[in-house]
Amino acid sequence: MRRVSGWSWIGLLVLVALPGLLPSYWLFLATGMLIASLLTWSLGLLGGLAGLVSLCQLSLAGVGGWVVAYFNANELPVPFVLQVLVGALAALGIGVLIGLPSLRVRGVHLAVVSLGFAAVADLAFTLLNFPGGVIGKPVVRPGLLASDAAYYWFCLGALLVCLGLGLWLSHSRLGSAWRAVKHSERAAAAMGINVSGAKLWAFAVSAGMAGLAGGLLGLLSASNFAPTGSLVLFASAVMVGAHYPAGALLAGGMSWLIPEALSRLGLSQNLGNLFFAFGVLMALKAGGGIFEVAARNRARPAVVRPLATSPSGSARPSQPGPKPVLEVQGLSVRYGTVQALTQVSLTLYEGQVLGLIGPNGAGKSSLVDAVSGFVPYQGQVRLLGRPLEGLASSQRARAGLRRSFQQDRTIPELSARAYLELAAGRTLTPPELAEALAFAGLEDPEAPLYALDVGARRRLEVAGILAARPKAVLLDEPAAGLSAAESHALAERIAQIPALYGAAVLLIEHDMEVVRRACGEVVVLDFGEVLEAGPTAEVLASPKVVAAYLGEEVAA
Amino acid sequence: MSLEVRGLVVARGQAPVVRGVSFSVPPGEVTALLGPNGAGKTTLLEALSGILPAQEGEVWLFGVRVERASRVARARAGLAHVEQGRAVFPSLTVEENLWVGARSGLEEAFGLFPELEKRRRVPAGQLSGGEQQMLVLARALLGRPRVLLLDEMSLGLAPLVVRRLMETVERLAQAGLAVLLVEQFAHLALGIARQALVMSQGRLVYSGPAQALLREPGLLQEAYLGRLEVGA
Amino acid sequence: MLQAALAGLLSGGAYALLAVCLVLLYRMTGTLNFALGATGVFGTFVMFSLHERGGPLGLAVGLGLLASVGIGGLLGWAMARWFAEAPLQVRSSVTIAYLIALLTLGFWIFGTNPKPVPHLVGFGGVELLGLRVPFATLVTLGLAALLALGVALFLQRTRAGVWLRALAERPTAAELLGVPVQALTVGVWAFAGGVSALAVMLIAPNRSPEFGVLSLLVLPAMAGALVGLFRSFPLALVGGLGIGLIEGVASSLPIAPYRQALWFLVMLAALLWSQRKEVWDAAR
Repeated sequence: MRRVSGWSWIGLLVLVALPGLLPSYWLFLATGMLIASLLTWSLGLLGGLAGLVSLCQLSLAGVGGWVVAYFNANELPVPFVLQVLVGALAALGIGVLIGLPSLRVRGVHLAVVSLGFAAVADLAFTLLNFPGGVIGKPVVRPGLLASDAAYYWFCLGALLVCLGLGLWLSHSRLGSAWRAVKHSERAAAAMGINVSGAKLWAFAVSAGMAGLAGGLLGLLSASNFAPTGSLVLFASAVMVGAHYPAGALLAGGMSWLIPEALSRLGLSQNLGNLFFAFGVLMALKAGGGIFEVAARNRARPAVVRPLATSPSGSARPSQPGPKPVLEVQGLSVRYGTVQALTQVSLTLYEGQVLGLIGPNGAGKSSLVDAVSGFVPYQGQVRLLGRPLEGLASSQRARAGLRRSFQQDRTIPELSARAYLELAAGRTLTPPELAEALAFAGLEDPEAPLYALDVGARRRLEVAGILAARPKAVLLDEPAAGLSAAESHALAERIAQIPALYGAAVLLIEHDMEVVRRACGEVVVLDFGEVLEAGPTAEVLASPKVVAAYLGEEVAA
Repeated sequence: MSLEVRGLVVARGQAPVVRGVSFSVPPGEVTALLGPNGAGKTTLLEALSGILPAQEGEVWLFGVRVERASRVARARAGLAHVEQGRAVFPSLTVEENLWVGARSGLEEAFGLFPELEKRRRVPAGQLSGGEQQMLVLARALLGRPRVLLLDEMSLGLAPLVVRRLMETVERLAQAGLAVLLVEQFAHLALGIARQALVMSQGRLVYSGPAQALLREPGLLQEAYLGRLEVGA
Repeated sequence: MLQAALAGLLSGGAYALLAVCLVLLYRMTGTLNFALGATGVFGTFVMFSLHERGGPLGLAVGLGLLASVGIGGLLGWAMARWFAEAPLQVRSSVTIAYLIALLTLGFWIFGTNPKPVPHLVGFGGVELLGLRVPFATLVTLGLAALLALGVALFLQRTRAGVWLRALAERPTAAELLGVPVQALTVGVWAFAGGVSALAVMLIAPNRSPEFGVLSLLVLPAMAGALVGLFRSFPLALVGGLGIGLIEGVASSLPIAPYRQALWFLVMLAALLWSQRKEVWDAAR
């Protein structure tokens, strides 16, 4: 957990002391700000951390409010606190239901569904009416919370609990998983994360907090939960970067102060929405909300030590043992009418670093995608003799088959430590952490990944994979984008992986210098079929292989 | 000089891929740009036509600096870029594909590649790879460019088709066009080029006459496959 | 029952008009436009106001359409100017900001007092197979069919149409060939704005004439467009009309109060069916 700065303590003190400082009308406004902050925070966790869109957050708040109103109108003997919690739970349930489509429906489509839900909920609220709404029965607060100051403190407590819960989650494995899902679902699955579960949890937590806020509002009219409100809430959350507590507080404050200022100027309160519309445009243009951009600007490039080639001269590629680790038999992959791989077979033995090379479009990445479970295929893949067919990619990862990606898919918002622990699937011991950081050339475990250069991120990706202690590793062009010296140093590290980490490696690489340094044997793919296989030097000198790379006439 | 490049630096995402490259492409001849996968050739072309922004450096087109100009502006200034992977508009017919950038009738295109005329009403997505490559080349030419950037035309095509494409490119250059030709198969490009550039790791490692490279195949093999260990 | 279904066709026609525009914008400019309905509502309210002050209906309608064309064009220009390179999700979020701004300005300029809603089309109708078909329904259906057909012809037969299709398939390749992207984007947005105004004007007499309510007509239209996965014009037409029919039929059933939420089920079904194989996010 990060340290809490002095400013946060001062802010908290002011918030707690407010009831003694403000006249009652302002205290009412301040209470509204706290609730609005809670709503914005709930949206920030969903959108800012997990990258999921909700345009119906106010409808979920409405569910919470409806439940409290129902208890109140029927004068059921349930304590107020419990009423609010039941409301939060009801919203949580509905939130999970709304989240279900998100397992397949993404991006703008998810936005459409959630705005659709907001419109339907609005219709339902209007038709059903809020219990007690017609006769105007206000929510009765119990004796302890009857005073405005007490209610303010109660709402402040609820907000602080939710902020704390959110912060704790965001630093937990679940929070790291959310960030992974936001950035790349494939990368998340490749680290063994259950993507569906992570998404549903995000919806549950977010909806529960929204429902809680709705129950606290104590307003009893459908018009308070109209879709427009949800849209403005979305805009304000994006504008500030609401997964930062200060951002949520700022948005909550603005949502009450701006209308208040406008009405004192004799203008329509609604015009405040223009501010949020403009703000969200700015944020979209800048590629992040106020606090996101601020955090990005604060970040200094982390100290990265370049990998040095080992002083003892070039490391020799390790020799394979007799035991097969990964067996690929008769693997074929089709994309529509394109046959990417035809009956490819290869075996990766214990202690081996096997190179997989071939010209552009030869099917190398398709092979990695198929073996790691990201594209459907025909044929058989066995890990330590166990067939992997029927296992999803995250299950294959957990079974000990790990892969890296050709494009950088590390998660920029995580710290190096959080990334490594997420990839490893467990908390690392200090020596393990130090070892992994050393592999990546990093000193500070808390350095955020967006402050790292590409080389360090690529090494960190490999370090994360190794920290999971896999049986077999598929590395897809780990040296892409590195300088010559860096990639040669990386090649030597890769050559040592079997000896140091006990994992066999299948290395896809287009830089032949890297292949020569890391791999004892190579397999050459061309047009989706195995062209040649054998000891590296022999294969690279083979006329067939030279022809595949340079064109036929040079070789002839 | 038709096209002149000075100290160009281009990044993909955050990684610099082209790291300070200078050269010029004269009219009336083919300049070959060679190098192994991942050397930065495609990235370089994409910065020239404006698909990617240049981080640093200058691009001059007929004496005008264009590295900040939009893609459309560069196209209108006479620069054509035939992208890798045969970027036909698949659901548009051959005819419609040609219309998109045409500044004149389509006869010129059909004169160059008669087989396209026979298939003028066929959706371009249904053409063979060779026909698609002819289509994108013809399509670019109808915009009356004066500088032509060609990226990996031969990828996955039959040798016969490739030879015809190369002959066409050679004729176009003789007619006054400045051509920058990126080609994985070095001998093809060197066969028709007067100048050659070789890239490796984002930098130019050779710049000079194409013939010299043909006479010294060792130079090229080193760039593509690294040093071959003797006796291996 | 049949008569009830027929009554839903007026709404269906309006949904179809909007749905076809949504598909046009989605395919040609890579934007899912949440603000399309509000763009049309703005022009409609301009028409209401002019009519209320005694302006001739024809002039009011003309100026109303012009207002929506102008707003559409302006929003499209801003999109092309500042978000040309942005991905679909960002561009669609931008339209959410547009929607908020239009709703806010709409309430501010036109107020919340109910306005008299003029009928663009006379009240009469024709007898067809024993069913009474109002003129308004006929006109709306005719316009919807005309729009779908017109858009298809435009895209097939004109140079600008070919440019738009090229742009939709490979924007970069089109730009490299010198296709004037910005002008095309503004044109499509302006056109969609005008059509949207027409659709809203036609349906307004049957709805509660509130700025916010009418702006959300874009949602049933999205459901309709989703039937064609935002790609097919004929299916968007069918989807829009189908949703209108469902609403019409439902109005004679006990679920009548909720009939205007049934499009949500169509939306969910279309989305879940179309995305059932999308195990992974597209590019990441």
